[in-house]
Amino acid sequence: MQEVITDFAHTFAMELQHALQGESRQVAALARAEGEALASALGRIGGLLLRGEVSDEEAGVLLRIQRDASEAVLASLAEVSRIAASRAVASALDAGVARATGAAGQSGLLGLARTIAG
Amino acid sequence: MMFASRFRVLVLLAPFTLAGCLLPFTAPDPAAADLARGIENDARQFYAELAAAPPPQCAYAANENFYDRLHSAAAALRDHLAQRGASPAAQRAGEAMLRLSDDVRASHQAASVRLDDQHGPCMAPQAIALNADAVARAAAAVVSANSQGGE
Repeated sequence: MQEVITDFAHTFAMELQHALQGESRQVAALARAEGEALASALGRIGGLLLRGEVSDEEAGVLLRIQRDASEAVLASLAEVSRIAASRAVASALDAGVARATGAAGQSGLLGLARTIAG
Repeated sequence: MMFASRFRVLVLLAPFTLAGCLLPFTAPDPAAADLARGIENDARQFYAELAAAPPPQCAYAANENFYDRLHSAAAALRDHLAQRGASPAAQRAGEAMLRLSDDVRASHQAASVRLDDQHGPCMAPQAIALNADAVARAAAAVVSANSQGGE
């Protein structure tokens, strides 16, 4: 589980930095921290799914909330526009999920959550 | 001699005076930061109480007032930032806070609709913790954006 989280967090952070290329060290540090926070949240959501404590629909809302929070953190930086932040998070999520599960998109996110939890 | 000295002081102070005139558009906004901290504190207290509440007090219907209050506070924050001419970054963070306030409401609603799991109309404790963390992260982003000043 920890290996998957670390792998996802690393890929997510690298892709985020790539998408926001040329940005400051502050952005790079934040990208790493957000990657770890998001990966940890995905693991917890995966655990909820596995234990049957939330439905797929509820897990989807929880994922959206975490994604919103990541976008809010990045968008709050003066040098990153909201559109850039949104695109960066989306592409970084896709890359991280695809690397960990071979899938992409929302179903890939749920798959990753299950993979992390399993 | 005295006049020349005073004139020199005025010349030296002029740029700072000019900057002072521009300050409202770029300076940190303690009022906005306080609003965001208020949201964070209110949410922290609410989620702590929700985690300990039995049914039916834990159901969405019994807690709708909190989500109305959260939405109003987030909308007030967004409006404050817009009216004050806050930086685009601060305004983006405020908009994200408002979106998040609606998403956490949807999360609790979805949990309460599903009555066939072990938590009945209540949210799973981990889901409560996740939502509390998300609100705290977004609120901290708003505080940070308003502590750093404008773009």
